[in-house]
Amino acid sequence: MYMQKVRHMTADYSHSAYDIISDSAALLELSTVLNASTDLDFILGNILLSSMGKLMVSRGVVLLDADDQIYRVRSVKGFSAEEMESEFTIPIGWDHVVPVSSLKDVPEASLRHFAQCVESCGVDIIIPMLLEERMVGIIGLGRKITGKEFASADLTFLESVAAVAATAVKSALAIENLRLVNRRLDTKIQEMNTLFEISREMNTTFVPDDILRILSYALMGQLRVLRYVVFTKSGETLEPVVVRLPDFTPRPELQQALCELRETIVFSETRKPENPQEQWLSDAGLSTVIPMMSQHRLRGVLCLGERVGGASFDRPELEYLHALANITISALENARLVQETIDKQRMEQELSVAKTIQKGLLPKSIPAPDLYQIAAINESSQQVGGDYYDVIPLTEHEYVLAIADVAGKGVPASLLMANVQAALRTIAPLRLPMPEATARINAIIHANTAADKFITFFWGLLDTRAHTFTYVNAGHNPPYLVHADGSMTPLQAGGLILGIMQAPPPYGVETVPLLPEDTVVCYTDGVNEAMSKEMDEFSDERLEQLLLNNRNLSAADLLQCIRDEIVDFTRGAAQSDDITMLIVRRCP
Amino acid sequence: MSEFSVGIRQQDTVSILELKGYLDAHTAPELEKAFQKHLNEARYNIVVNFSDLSYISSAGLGVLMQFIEDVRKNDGDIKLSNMSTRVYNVFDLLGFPMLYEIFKDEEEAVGKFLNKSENPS
Repeated sequence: MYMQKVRHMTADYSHSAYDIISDSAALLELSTVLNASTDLDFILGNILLSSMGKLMVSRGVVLLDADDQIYRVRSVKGFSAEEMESEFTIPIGWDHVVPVSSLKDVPEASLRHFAQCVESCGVDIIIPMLLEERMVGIIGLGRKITGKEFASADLTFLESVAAVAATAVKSALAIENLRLVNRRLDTKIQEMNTLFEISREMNTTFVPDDILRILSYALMGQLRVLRYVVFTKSGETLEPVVVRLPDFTPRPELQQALCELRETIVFSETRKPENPQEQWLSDAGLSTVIPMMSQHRLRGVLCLGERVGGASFDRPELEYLHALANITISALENARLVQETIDKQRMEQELSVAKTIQKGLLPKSIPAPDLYQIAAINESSQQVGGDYYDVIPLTEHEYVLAIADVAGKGVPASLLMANVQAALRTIAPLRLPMPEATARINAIIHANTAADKFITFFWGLLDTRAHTFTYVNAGHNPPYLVHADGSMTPLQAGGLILGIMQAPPPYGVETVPLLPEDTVVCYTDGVNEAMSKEMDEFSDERLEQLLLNNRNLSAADLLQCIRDEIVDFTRGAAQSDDITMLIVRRCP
Repeated sequence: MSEFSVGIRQQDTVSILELKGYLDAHTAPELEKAFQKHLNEARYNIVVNFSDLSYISSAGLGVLMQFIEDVRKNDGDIKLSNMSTRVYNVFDLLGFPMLYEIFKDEEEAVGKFLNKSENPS
């Protein structure tokens, strides 16, 4: 910035020695006052007031160098700061007092504009504040209220005031700057402490609601945001988990669209909403949209409204928000993993309970009647299905055989199975006709279960003296009666599955004779529906072929043979259902 | 770990919440409960006395923010008093002095409520 000489405005007044001493005293006092203070507003106010008081001027203004050639109004006395613009471009500097009127014809447009503005506020002269040849500020003063011109001694006085002021302003600015830096540092420390506290708190709880509450505190307390919605990933879409927005209702299209969010959006004049979903967010006042990422995947979205007390987020605050978003989402992810582990453990415990119940219900040993072989197996799957079989001796030559498949899995299925067992073991010894006995068992099951629970059930009475098998099939996979000559009869007489109707149509019953080498093969759908790795079903056909080919094996060997075949068939696939079989064979 | 408690006194129509100890994300739910109770009972003239509070984090300020709208909607206010420099600095850094009336003494804060109700001008 170069210095431009402008003609001194001088009025020809003589100054007495008294005036000069008085000027010096005023300057000394001012200098003492200014140097004792570091408060910029106080210093500037004092500069204006002492100049105005001494010279009887009613208006004053101080502008300070804000940036290259930009001067900002910092103090105003005698009129309102609103009457003028807050900053001006002043491309040149002066080294002495300049009358505003002399600036109205200069070539620089910005300077003419400045002159016009200050003149309209009643400013008559401007005094540069010089520090090491640099113009650090400008003092502007109005006319003397006496109407007299400024005397040359006045101007000298003002130049001296400006010099004192420049030094004081410099120190004050340095201190003000230091304060600003300190405050920024304090703010940073405060932010770091909060982040530290938040991550500590979030990582000591595994309750998602607690984590979200801590996030809410931070949004409201640290960032002064009172309107926000937090979405977290649930399956393929985002679901709102915290809503602090009046009249919010879930919007599936928005939640779907936000899944694609990868970068923070801040709506502004330069970044307007680009699609209906963004428009909705913007209209709802949610102007900042932040993705919550965990391991490079979007796990949630934070939508924030304006903060109370104005001011949009600056860069450090946005960075802070990102940190907050990421801490929150990883805490939520951790909580989810912990919950999954707990659920898994609980499920495993439950399954082990179910397995224990199931094993306890199956007969401890299988009776071995004369002339007959009985073999049975129950292999429970990972999830524990509700399969059941039973062999109950009634007399020396009469045996009840039963097989059942309870809908559902786990503990509920095994409890229902216990119910079936109790019913069967209570009713079988009563020697009722089988259709009636079946109807009674159905009534008990129906009374004890919900409508969606049912049981496929097959039972028969083996008479080893008469060599007959009398059975009722209540909706179970028809067992095969395999004859020595290779012919096969499915045993399907009976009726409806147990548990769905209180009084089903009467059950049918059939008595079949058992010849030497005849075999009755009862099984559950874990056998014929066993799945291979390629998702093929074992199938009735394969089972029938197997029975045909191995019809001369003993009951135990046939059972082993079918089992081996299934194991072979399902190699590599998870066993999804129980495998249960009950085989009776009349010895040759 | 950190201890925090809220004592509640009543002076005319004004509830005074005395905070004691260490208010952070861990203890903030305690204050939240106290405020919720007041709102449930439709008591909206609240003075929070900070004299025995040794520390506040932004979570504590979060609780104040959480209820301020509801309280003011019901013609009440949350006024703050007796802050130590340390506590005040946190409010100041986070820009809260412009959102809340902060008094040196509880008496002044309570007085502000009571005078208002006497002359409803």
